[in-house]
Formats: sequence, C-alpha cells, structure tokens
Amino acid sequence: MMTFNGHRRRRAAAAVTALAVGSLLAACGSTTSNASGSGSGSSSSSSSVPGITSNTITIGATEPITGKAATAGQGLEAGIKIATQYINAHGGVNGKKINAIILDDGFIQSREIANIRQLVSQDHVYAIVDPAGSQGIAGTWDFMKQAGTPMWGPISPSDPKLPNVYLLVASRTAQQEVAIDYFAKQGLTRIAAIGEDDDLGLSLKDALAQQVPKHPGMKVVANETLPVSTSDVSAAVLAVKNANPQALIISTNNTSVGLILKEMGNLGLHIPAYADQGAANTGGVGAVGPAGSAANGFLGGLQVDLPTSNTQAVQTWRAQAQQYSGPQGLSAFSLQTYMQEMAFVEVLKRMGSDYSWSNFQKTANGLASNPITLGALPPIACGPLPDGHTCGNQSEIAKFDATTQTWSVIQGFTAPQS
Amino acid sequence: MLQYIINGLQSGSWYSLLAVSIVIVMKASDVPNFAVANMGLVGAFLAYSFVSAHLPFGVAVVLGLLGAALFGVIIDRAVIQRLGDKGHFPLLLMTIGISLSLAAALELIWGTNSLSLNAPWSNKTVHLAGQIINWDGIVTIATGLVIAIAITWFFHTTAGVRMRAVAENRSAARLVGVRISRVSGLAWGIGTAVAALAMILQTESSVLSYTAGDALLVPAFVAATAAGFTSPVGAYVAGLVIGVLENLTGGYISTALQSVVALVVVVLILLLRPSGFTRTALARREV
Repeated sequence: MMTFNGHRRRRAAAAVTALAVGSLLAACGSTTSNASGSGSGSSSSSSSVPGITSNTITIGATEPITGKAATAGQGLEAGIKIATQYINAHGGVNGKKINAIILDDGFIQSREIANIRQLVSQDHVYAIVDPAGSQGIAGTWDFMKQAGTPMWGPISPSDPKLPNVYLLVASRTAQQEVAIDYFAKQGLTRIAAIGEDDDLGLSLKDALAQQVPKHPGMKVVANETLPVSTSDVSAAVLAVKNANPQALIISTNNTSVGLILKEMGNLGLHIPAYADQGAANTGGVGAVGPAGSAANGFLGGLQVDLPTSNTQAVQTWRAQAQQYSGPQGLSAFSLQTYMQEMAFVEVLKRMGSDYSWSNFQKTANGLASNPITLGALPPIACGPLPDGHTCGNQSEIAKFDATTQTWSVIQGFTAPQS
Repeated sequence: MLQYIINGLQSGSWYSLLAVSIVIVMKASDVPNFAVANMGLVGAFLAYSFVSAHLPFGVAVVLGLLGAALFGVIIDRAVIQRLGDKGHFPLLLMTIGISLSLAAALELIWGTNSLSLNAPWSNKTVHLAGQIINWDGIVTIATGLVIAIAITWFFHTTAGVRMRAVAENRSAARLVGVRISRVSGLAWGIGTAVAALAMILQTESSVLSYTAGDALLVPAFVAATAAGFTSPVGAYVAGLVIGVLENLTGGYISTALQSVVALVVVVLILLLRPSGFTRTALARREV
C-alpha cells in the first residue's frame, strides 16, 4: 500500500516535472531585451574616446567559445586573433596596436548581453567587432543605442537600423532570398521549407514572404517548424515529402540540418536542399558530416568566400591561419571574422587621426561611394540610414560533394533579386 | 498514417525507456532523476568510443551499457546515498547538478561536433504497406518492447520485490532486513543502463552529441508522470503514446505544435489524475 509520504512525494515530483516543462518551453521561445542605458552619448572627441590610448586601440567581442555553438565560436575567435596578430605584426593602425578582448558567452543569450555590457561599461572598448549570437545581440540594441559604441559586423542579426551598428555580410534572410532566386533560375517552382522554432525559422519565413512572390508560378508547398534542438525530424521531413516539392530550404541548427538530410535520404526524397552559411556550416562538416552520403549535392550559402579558395585574400589569411595554434583556425568562421576585422581596420585608417565615434560613423557611412574591397567578402559599401548599414547583402552558393568531402562554389556573390 | 505512427513509436520508445529508467530510480531512491538523459549519454559515448576502436557494434553496445551501469552505481554510492538522510529536495537538486556537470564533462571529453554512432542497420530501409520504414525504427521499437517486458519481469523477482518494498516504505523494508544501499545501487545501475540503451538507440538513428538528451527529457518525465512515477509498464505505454501523438500532430496539424504535445499531456495529467493514470490501474496491483 502506498504511504501518505509516497503520495505526496510523487505529487511533488509531478509538479516539479510540470514546472520544468513550463520553464523549458518558456526558455525555448524567450528573447531577453532588458538593457538600460549607461552610455556616454553618441559623439565623443578624439581625446576622450573610450578604448583609444597613445599606442593601443581596444576592441571587444563576445563569442560562443563553449557550449552548443562552440565550433563556430572557436572559429570566430580564431579569426579575430589571427587578424589582430597580423595587423599588429604589420605596424598596427597608424602605429597603434590592436588589443582584442574576446569573452565567452557559451551561446547563452543572457551572457551575450552581459558580455557586451561589460565590454562597453567596464572594459571601455572602442568598438564591438564581430560579436556572435543574433538573439542575444538583438537584446542589446537599446543599450548600444544609448552607449554610442560602434558595433561592427555582428553575426548575423536583423538590421536594427541604428547609427552605430553596421552589418557587413548577407543576413540569413538575404542568403535565403538568393537561394529562392537560384531555384527560380533552375525552373524549380514548388518550394518547401523547414525552419526552427526561433529566429532561424523566422528569417526563413521572412525570406519566403519577400522573395517567392517575385517569381511567377513559384509557391511554398510545405512550411514546417521544428522544435529547437529536437532530434526527431521525421514528421517534418515526411510532411515535406508528402507535399511533393522540387526544392527545400532549411533554416535550423547544424545538427538538425544533418538529421534532415539523413531522413531525406532514408525516405528517398532526392531534391535540391539549401541552408544558409550558419545552418549548413558551409565549407565545414558540422552539418554534412552526420548526414553521410545523403549530403551529396547539398547546397550551402556563403557570406564569405570558401576557406579553400585560391584567391589572394584567402591565401593570405590561410598562411596566417596555419600558424594559429588554437582550434578552428582554418574554418570559414575564422575567415569571416578575419576579413571583417580587416575591414574595420581599413575604416580606422581612413579616419586619419580623429578616432571620435562621430568620425567613425561619417567614414563608415561614406563607404557607399568608395567601398572596401577585400576579395573574400562582397564589397563593403555602407551608407547612411535607414538602409545603408546593411553594408553587404550578396552571398554565394556552394555545393557539397560527399564522395570527395569538398565544397565548391556554384554561384558567385549575388544579391537578392529586387 | 502508418509512417507517422511508426516514427512516433520510435521516438516514443526513446521516451519510454528514459521514463522506465526514471521510474526504476524513483522506486529505490524516491528522487526524480533529472540527470537521466545525460547519464544515459555516458553509455552512448562509451559505445561510440568502443566502435571507434573497431570493436563490433554489439560488443561496443554491451560494454557501453555495462559502463553506464557501473557509472550509475558510482553516482549512487558517491553522491545519492550520502544525501539520503538530507531530505527529498537536496537529492532532486543534486540530480540537476549531476546533469549539468555531466553535460560539461561530455563536451570536454568528446567535443561539440555531432558524431555518428552507426549500427549495422543504420540508413537501411524496408518497404512496408507502401511506406518506407527505417530499420533503426524497427530495432528501436522492438528493443523498447523487450526491455519493458524484462523490467516488468524483474519487478517480480526477489530483487525487484525488495526494490518495490523500499519504494513503498523505506523504514519498514529496512526493519525486515532489506539492505537499502544495495537496492539503491542496483536501481541506479539498472536505471542508468536502461537510460544508456535509450540514448544509444536515439543517437544511432540521429547523431551523438552532448546535447542529444535535451529534447528527450521533458517527454520522458511527462511519461513518468503519467505512470505516477511508479509503474514501468505505465511509463512505457505513456512514452509511446506521447511519441505517436507528437508525430500525428506534426503530420496532420502542424510540426510547430509537436513540442506542445508533452505540455498538454502533463497539464491534463495534473488536472485529471495528479498521481498518474496508471498508478491505480497497475501499480496497486504490482505492489
């Protein structure tokens, strides 16, 4: 016979389960946005600009060096370190050495926000350069707006259209729009979509809403949503298969992309599938590795050139990256932040001796007439607000060959069809 | 419909096995083990390492399960039994702490990349009634059923009866000569091995990573809740029901609602039968 204590404890356990279920589901969909202003305004004179001394320029970044996105985070960290070392070894910026503070956020939104606040308020960096974590970063917009600190090349939130925030490469939505255009050019009109139940999925919904109507005859025949971090993708893939599509666009995490490709292979669903650079880990094996042969022909977006490219810019980076002793030095993520920091330094050089934030904005806003061309990124052509701070919206498309385990570019940098 | 049901039975079997593991530990230690998935992952990662060392898949799985069972016993002896007299809540918190620590340890040891734990039947399919069915689904469903039967049988053995006696009244069981520490160790060992089997089956058909258990924990606990944390059979059936409901919801309503199914089920359970649907029907008869 069950004792009273037994009843009570089991009811308590059930209640704890309910609480845990509720908490987990709430956490899945939450976006923190509670930053309050403590900044010093948007204009500063050169002599009082934070992060600038007679011989250093301090910049900061928050990256997921540990946690679920550690592979990407370590690559992003590597690119910043490699670029910093290269710049300093070549005399710095007008004689000033770059000092890069990189904080680990573990891919936790609250830590991303806390790190950015720390970098601005405690470490007094001159600029936030190449921070990652689109959801957490979006939670700092109010704070960044009041602080006035430049944010250069965040990866890869939607454009907040703030005076001090500059997005350098194609957003997820822009990459997916390019993919929709690509499928249209191939004569594929029945499009299916699988997105994650967070901002990854929202970006895909935006892309479909904006770009599909531009192609007569094209329609979305399936639009499935996956729970975050699920390992059961079978219902979504089966629903896609039953809709008889000609192409599939995926916007989930790397693991889910791999699982979807694997399930497509199992179900005999052999249609072109595309994911943006972050989801596909284009150039790497984060998504295609677990899928095995089912990943053959998979299409991945590229915000930056392939790390295996033989362009001069990539060769220069690769030579530096091969000297890097940390993890992920030769990844596409490393190349991206390396190039973005190089672009940041180019802006500093164009500013002359006036490092005020107002001069930074003036110089950056003027790039539309004289873009920064680094070779591995589309031309960086920032302009004035409201739309000028999305400085590049072109992306490439690469195809994966499962036999040789290599990626190759099949469409160069292209902007979404307007 | 058939394919959705089979897919649901497959994912439901993962939930079921984890839920059975939760119930086994609950019976002996009277604590809901929130570390169940990550403790199971220890066995899955061990199996992966053995496969990587070119051991046959079956041997690697057996060694992984044994390793997991040993790990469960160690956790019981090193942590759980030491807190046994501190009350219920510290034990519960400790399982959460173990889960978080294990996640960090697994990430540190095996890295963050997704790994493939390929079985001989991985990526193989069979045509059944016009549908394409994965062999790993069939293996998972069959294994889950066998384990459920085996666990049910176990609770009718002497060791099983002792475990149930401890669950019902720890003091009385001690008075009649049951060695609580031995029963507890046995429960944690068996429970962790069952959890490891769940995680091996789940990662074999998807990918192996230190976060692989995250998505399974909630449905598994909901299944255990439905069984009143008492009945392994009830937990097994509830897990299957949740898996099938999730897949049918995804297939015929919206995949966006799949994750809500577990929440709806647990809310219904707490409203209609807080002590679980199967406790009165099955557990009373078992005890």
